[in-house]
Amino acid sequence: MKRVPLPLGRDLGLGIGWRPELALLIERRSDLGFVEVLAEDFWFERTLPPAIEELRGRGVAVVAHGVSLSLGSAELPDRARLRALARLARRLDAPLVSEHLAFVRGGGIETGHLLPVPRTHEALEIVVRNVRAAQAMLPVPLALENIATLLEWPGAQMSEADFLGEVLDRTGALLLLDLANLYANGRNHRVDAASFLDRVPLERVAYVHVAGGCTGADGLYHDTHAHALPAPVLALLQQLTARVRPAGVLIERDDRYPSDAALNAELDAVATVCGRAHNNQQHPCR
Amino acid sequence: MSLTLAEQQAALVAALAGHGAVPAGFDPARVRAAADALAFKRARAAAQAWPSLRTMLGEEFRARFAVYAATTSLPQQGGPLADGHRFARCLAPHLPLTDAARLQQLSVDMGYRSTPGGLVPRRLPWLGVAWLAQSRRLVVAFGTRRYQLGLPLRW
Repeated sequence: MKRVPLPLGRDLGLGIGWRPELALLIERRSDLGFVEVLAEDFWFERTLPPAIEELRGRGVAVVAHGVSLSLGSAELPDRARLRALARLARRLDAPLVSEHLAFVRGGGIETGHLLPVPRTHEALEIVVRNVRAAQAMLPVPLALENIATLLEWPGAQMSEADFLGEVLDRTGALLLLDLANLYANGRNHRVDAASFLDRVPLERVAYVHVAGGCTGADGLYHDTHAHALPAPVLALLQQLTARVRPAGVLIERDDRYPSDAALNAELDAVATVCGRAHNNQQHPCR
Repeated sequence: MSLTLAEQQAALVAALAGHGAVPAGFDPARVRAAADALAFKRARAAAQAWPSLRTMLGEEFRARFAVYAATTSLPQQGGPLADGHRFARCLAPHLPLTDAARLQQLSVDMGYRSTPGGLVPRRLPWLGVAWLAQSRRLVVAFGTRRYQLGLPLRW
């Protein structure tokens, strides 16, 4: 396994997306290094939920994860949204914020969904401009997440890995490597995961997402965050750890919440793959 | 004539919302699959934000929400809460809200101001009044987004 400097200069460890429905499980889990909150849920709150304050108090890092900046839009990101994200990051004392290489609105219509950016040189310039504009207003590093998509733009001039790599290289942004999304795109568009991992700048991985999905009646794989972690996604995590040791790995679960036992088993499985076994009292050495 | 990125994105979003044709070069089956996924996600998020509406409509929620969503875009501010709020308003003239739904609507109105863009959090405490048709009670409520007190009056 390659030893690279941690992009953030620190380990994040094992993580899970914080949701009110999972607050108790998260509170009881003693080996979590970080959680992620959905930024838009907290923009207007003057105080953080006690559960979040308790986690911060015991040293669990809280990352602010946004879904509405639309960095892939033709327009610059909205300054009011950026100010809200920056305020939240400061309140959480977040080590970083993360967003997506995607757009969510167009022609004045909100989609509430992450849509792919055309992989053209023209779009690349616009995304680089938008990411730099966002970074200028954020007090902490920004990580960009690769998304899952059912559809593809015509006329792609480069691969997803190369487009992502160019954006990261030119902006200095970090990578939130979503292995579930990589798996979904492999199923739906025959993206070769191994080639993707070969080409993206893994030294920029701030942390990793894993999540479950399901195959629909349409034969397509849907990244639902509402199903168990599939074995192939854990296998991708294994492949990744053979190349580099990620600073953090986080499970995303948004819906159809399973029993605590089932979710704890998933966290255990992720910890095992990363060599951070739950019973291991020794701090993982790098 | 080639379109700008903004125009291309607008065209795709319109197609996904069911308002426009599939732009040239896209796989129509994939655009349809994505549009269906978006519609499902939108309805599910609204149902989760408005459990009272989900209970009130039961099996009919999906169909009625689809009718609403076909003509009304997702609000720009307020997400699924704002979407469900608008949906409840659309329902009200044709289908009286249950007491539970009316109370949830009152609770949301206490904490948020309705605007053309959606819902905006109120900064100050608010006073609200609602008539509950099922139990024939008037409820007067006072409070903020987080802390609300309601007083039912019956006659």
